Amino acid sequence: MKTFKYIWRNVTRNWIRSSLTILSVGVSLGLMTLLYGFIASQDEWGKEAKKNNRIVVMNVQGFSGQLPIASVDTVRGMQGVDAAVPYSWYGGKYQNKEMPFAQFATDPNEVFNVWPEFTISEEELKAFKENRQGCVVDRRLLAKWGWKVGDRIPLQGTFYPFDLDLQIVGAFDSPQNTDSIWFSWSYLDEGLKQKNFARTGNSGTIFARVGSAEVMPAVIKAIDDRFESSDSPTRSQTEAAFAQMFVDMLGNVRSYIQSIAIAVVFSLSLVTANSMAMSMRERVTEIAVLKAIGFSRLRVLSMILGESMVVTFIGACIGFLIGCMWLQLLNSAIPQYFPFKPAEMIGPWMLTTFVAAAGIGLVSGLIPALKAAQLSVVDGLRRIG
Amino acid sequence: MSSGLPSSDPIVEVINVSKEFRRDQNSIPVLNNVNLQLFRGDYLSLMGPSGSGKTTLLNLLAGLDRPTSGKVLVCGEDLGVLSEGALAKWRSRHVGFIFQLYNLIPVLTAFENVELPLTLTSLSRKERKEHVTTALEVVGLADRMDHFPRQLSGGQEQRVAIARAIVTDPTLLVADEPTGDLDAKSAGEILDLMQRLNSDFQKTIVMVTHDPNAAARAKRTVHLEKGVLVAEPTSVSHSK
Amino acid sequence: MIPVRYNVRNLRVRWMTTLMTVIGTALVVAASVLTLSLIAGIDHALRISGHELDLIALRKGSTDEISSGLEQKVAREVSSLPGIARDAAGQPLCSVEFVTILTKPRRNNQGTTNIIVRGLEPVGRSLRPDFKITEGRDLNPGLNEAITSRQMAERFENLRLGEKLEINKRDFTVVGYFEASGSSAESEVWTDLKDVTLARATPEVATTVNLRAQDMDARKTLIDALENDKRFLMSAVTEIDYFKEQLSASYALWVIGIIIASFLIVGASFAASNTMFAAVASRSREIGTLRALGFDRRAILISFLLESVILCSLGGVLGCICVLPFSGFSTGTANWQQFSEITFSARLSPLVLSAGILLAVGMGLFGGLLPAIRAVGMNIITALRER
Ligand SMILES: Nc1ncnc2c1ncn2[C@@H]1O[C@H](COP(=O)(O)OP(=O)(O)OP(=O)(O)O)[C@@H](O)[C@H]1O
Ligand SMILES: [Mg+2]
Repeated sequence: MKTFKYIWRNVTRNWIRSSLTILSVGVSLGLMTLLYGFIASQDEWGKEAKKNNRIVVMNVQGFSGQLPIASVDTVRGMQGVDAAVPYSWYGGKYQNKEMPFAQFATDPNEVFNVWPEFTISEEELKAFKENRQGCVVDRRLLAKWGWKVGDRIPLQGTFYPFDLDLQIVGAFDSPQNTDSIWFSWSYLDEGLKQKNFARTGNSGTIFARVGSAEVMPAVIKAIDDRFESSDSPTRSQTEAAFAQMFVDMLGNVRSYIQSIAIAVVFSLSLVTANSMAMSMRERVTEIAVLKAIGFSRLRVLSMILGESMVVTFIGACIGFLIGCMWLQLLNSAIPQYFPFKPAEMIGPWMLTTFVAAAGIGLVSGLIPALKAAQLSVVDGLRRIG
Repeated sequence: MSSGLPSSDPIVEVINVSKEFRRDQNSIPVLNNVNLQLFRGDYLSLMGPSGSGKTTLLNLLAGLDRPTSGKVLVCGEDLGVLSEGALAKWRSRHVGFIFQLYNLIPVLTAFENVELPLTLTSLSRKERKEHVTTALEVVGLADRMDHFPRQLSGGQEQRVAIARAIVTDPTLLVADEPTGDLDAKSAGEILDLMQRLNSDFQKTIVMVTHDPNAAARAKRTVHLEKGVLVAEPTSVSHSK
Repeated sequence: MIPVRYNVRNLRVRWMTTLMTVIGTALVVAASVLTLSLIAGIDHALRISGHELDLIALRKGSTDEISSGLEQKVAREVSSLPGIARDAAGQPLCSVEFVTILTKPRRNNQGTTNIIVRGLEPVGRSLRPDFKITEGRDLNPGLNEAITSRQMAERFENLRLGEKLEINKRDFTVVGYFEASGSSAESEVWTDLKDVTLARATPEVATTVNLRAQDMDARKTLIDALENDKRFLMSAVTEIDYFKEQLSASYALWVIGIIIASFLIVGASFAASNTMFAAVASRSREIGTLRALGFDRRAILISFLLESVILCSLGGVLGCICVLPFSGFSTGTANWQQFSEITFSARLSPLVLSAGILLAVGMGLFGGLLPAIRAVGMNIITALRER
């Protein structure tokens, strides 16, 4: 009603001050949105991984250890396992760019059974299975580089002494941008054998799909027990745990980001409080007049709180937009760190920025508002002589 | 000092009021045992040298401040016992303020400024509009209601302020040097307006002024000197 | 020029606003300085780790220690190559080492991460910068004992003195803490070469040979010898190059740091701007008076810019003081190269601190510019009439 109009007029009366406050709130909450979006995307990754009953098997030594290719068959043959493929990181250069996207050597015959949620047309899958040098590409990656089916993708090995000459035979659709291309493991291995590479026959890691979530722990234990006394003992885990491992490696970054967010919120409260206090100082007489007319303390208090909340709320909206724009931008620029678009991870974290904004508005308005409410009418009126 | 006996109950009664301000350790006495009665339809002008306590007395009458001792009764109600919140509510119903520097809210239009006190009442939008229009018509500014204060002259601003003061139909109008910042012509208009409010609308008015001509428009005049009410000034500096 | 005293007085008169702005700026500077100090810390850790004359030899084709694999017997022969520096006792400074990775929980439920366990012999200690035991004692070979740095002990479960670390179902007791000038060795757990290879059920295997050349010429010949000698099937890189590669670990931190800092600085500049606009508005009559007294526009501009810079610099100094307690605070970040964590300490070097102050000055200039221009643009007459 009327009061809101008055509040709005007050917000806009010193537009320079209000816009500066709104902008500083906007920029800082934009940062917060970005940081929380980053954390949320990490969590989303783990959640996503939980949906699919996949197991990741690697050497106890981690990525650098070997897993003989025969292990894939062993895993595939184990009870509860529906499908298993070798999954080996190639990490080659394309057009002289270091790792422009992820490249995995895997088994074309089985890979879409391990990732049944990824879809590809019958013909393209058939071509992938038949063309030794064929590769399939995430459709988003295809669009990003402007490739077409039939294009050749030469990749230079960085730690493998064998360069790949791949041909795109198809594109697959996946729930999230995987930023990956898949090619045939045997193409890579044969090439390495020709180069007399010391460590051929290495499947890298093994991804296996299990029938149901219940049997996962049993299957994991069975796999690790099976290989325990072999040359390459394994460490198996659920895909979720595997994803969590990457998230955990960021452990300290996470708490660092959180402390930054706290500092941001705190310093914003100060900034907004300061600007509210400056406005109040200029409006002492006016507030005294309002109180003389009969405005109650509560009314004066809520009017000023309302004003600071309007300012921070606008700031929050702007900040949220800035943050989401950045997330979107980073999602297309470096999907390996930001695998999700903001629209794909709507969640409570978004609420956090708005709650933070409301909190900032409330806290920063409180002192000026209380001061205004306490203001003695007589003194306020005397200010003008 | 009031002339004659009251015909009815006074609407404002100031009984033995003293007021002192405390600054650091020492207290400054400003009002000393002031007694004053106002009746419905009264128009009182309050004169006195600067610093004599006029504004202080006015603030007490209007329920903005409390006396150190003594009582202020308005419509039989003791302002001294009311809480802060109750006083605010009381003011919104019973007092209209006119200030020397108008004190309009710069971000609100003339209409909205006048409407402001009405937002504290339960009147509907339509009723508010009626009241505001009437008040602005009384002060002769109905055509300026969408103007902001800075688009008005000083005299016009003061007239809007008067409209704001009367829009709630208060029991008492208090004016602190309402013409202090205006030229002779505008001041004349304001004084005419106030006189009309008193005669046509039976408004009870207390007006502080330094201007003997302005004081002469009131029905009666009292003088404050060093915190004491006197019927006539001891010095003759205020002669006509 | 208008005396600086005038600005200082004004800041003091409006002390509440000044204080708020200073604290706001201080927080922003503190966050930025902290980020910079972490980056400086990781840089330092990797830089100090690389000795000019030191070489790291791995199996041909391996770029990191984990994926390397050597026969111990062959690796030991490296020490007979000419050109290797010797210690006081005449022993060649050539250390055969075995590196393995363990996945262990961080303290305080901060998830798990991979830590590096290095098995080595006493000679390896002379190859690390200023290696010394700071608490407890050095390990005794054959007893499954381990030593690590104090930071590691604080950050990970099972690494405090007396605690037991499990490697493949064998318990290794931590008996001492060491220091090595903050180098990457301080991100590792050390044990005896034989003990760890036995635990891993890979006796006779090593991953690394770490050696020091007598001089730069010898360094060159050693690299060539290792590269070309068919016996070894190894290749050697200088430690400096090796750790430069790992500096990529700090890139992520750089990116995060720069994004955070630039957002915050823009935000804080707006805040400073706000304060200065208010200062200009409330002092328009003063500005008019100063102009009337004969100060020119430039003097006014400089005066307000100066005030803004003083304001923000106060925040900068306060911010730097606030982060001082974090000096030496240790944390870790992912070292993707080794798929493990590198532990490092925040380094509040003079360079980092002055960068913080510089940021604050920048904020002051940037934030003060528009208000100062407004002050300059004021019309004397209207300014003088202002209430
Ligand atoms: N809140 C206060 N605190 C301290 N002293 C006050 C306060 N209000 C008024 N005074 C003092 O009380 C005395 C009377 O003040 P008041 O404002 O009532 O004078 P006045 O008659 O209205 O003067 P003028 O004609 O100049 O407006 C003055 O000496 C003033 O300094
Ligand atoms: Mg007065």
